Amino acid sequence: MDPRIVVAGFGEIIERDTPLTVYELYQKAVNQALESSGIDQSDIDGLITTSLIGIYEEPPFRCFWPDQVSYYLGIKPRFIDFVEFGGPSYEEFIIRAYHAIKCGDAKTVLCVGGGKGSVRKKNLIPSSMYSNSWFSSLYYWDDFKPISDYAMLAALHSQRYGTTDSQRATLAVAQRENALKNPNALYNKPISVDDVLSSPIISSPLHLLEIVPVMDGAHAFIVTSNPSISKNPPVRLVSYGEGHDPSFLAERDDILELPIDESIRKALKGNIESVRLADIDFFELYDSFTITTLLQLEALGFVPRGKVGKFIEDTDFSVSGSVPLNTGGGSLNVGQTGYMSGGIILAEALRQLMEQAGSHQVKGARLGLVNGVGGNDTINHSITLILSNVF
Amino acid sequence: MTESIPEFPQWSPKTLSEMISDFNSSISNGRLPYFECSACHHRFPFPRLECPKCRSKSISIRHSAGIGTIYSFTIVHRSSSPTTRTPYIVALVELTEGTKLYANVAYHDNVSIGSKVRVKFDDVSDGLENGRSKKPIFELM
Repeated sequence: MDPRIVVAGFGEIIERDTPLTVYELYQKAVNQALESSGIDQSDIDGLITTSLIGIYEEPPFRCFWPDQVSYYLGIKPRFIDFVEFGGPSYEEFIIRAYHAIKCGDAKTVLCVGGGKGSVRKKNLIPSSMYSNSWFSSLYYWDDFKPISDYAMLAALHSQRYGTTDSQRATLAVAQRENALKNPNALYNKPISVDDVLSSPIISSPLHLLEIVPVMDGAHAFIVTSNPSISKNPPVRLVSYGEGHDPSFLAERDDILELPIDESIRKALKGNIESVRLADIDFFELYDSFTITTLLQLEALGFVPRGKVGKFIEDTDFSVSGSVPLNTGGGSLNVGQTGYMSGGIILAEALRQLMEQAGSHQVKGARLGLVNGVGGNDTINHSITLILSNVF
Repeated sequence: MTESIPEFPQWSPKTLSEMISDFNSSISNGRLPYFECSACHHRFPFPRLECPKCRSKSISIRHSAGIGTIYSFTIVHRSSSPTTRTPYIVALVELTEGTKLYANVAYHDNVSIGSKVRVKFDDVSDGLENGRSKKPIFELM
């Protein structure tokens, strides 16, 4: 990978239920990225964005979205891309921006995404807007996607490997402990395993405190081949991996065989530098639900498949622990903006590597791994980034 | 249980809409449809005009014997629509014919992974739902 291409700035806006439109949220995130890095908007010559239906105030917002973002922000990109992977779109932004810059299509790429969970929670968009006649018209069952799908992964993991509710709850408790050190977390009270297990079961075996709270917000990231335009310490992409399986859960032979294994394997193997798991200083793993993070811990290879429950009980996931994980508390505690946690985990990784994490800083963090998962039907995409501040 | 028999051996739909319409009439007639490629025998739960494995255009609609095992399931305590009563069970059911389906399972305390289930058909309360007058629901055998 070319170390001259770096992530040089980022902005993060998280609101509980904002009257602002998505345009304004995007603008605020971009402004924050520009102002905190000192980058001038005129330096931006590339744009990558994402979208998800039901996170804007009205359906037409979704059409020609990169054009709309350009109009509103007043940027004239000479490179444009659009990523629709759901949650891990943000991780993919960095890969696409890297390649666009590497091949000369752009010098400085703005990556921006976001949305309003409050729109969907208030049912402002009719459910027919989510339908496509081929698949949705076939529905003869009621479900509670995506929670009910992830719940079935958790149920099968428990049945097959003996993973317990308490072990998943232990992960939620560990992430909450990390959140207590993060002044920007939504929640500031410690919780116990019993608290998690006595919170209402939403879709068995998943309890309320194992499920991400959905928020409004936006994220912006700036990737450039000219680090001198930013006052931030630069962060380079050491390696990355992608795994894709756009198939229906019902049509997979084994629903616990997920593309996470492939993206992580590719990232650790690297294009030029291979990376040892033991050399990674911290991990920001997608945490829509406890089971999501648990499956990624397993794919990372800390323990053989099926043994992750015991690993969770035995491991210190705090910022000073042996495996610092979701160091700001993760989206379970910060919130999931616009039904996508990819921006939350990437922003936290950059905060760590730019040494801006303050009270939850991992001391001497040099190498961080970010993994995003998501898609239309449970885990269709997994994108792994390994980032470093060492050149 | 004996292997299910093809219901439409000569069936060759021209369009996806036609295929979806046949899928819906099967269910309205109290039959659980699935699809099988005549060339490579791949079986799949959702209508497609060409086999996703071998691209053959020779696809048969078949009717399942309606018996399977629970591959995984969840008891949902939140409703996604005003008409859904909680709690309800969502499952992936592996049919004896080999395909998996999403399905609801009638609520029962003893439902577990590996449970044997059989389909029954409930009338849709207010006429038609996506063009179907019945709704398959599995229950413990």
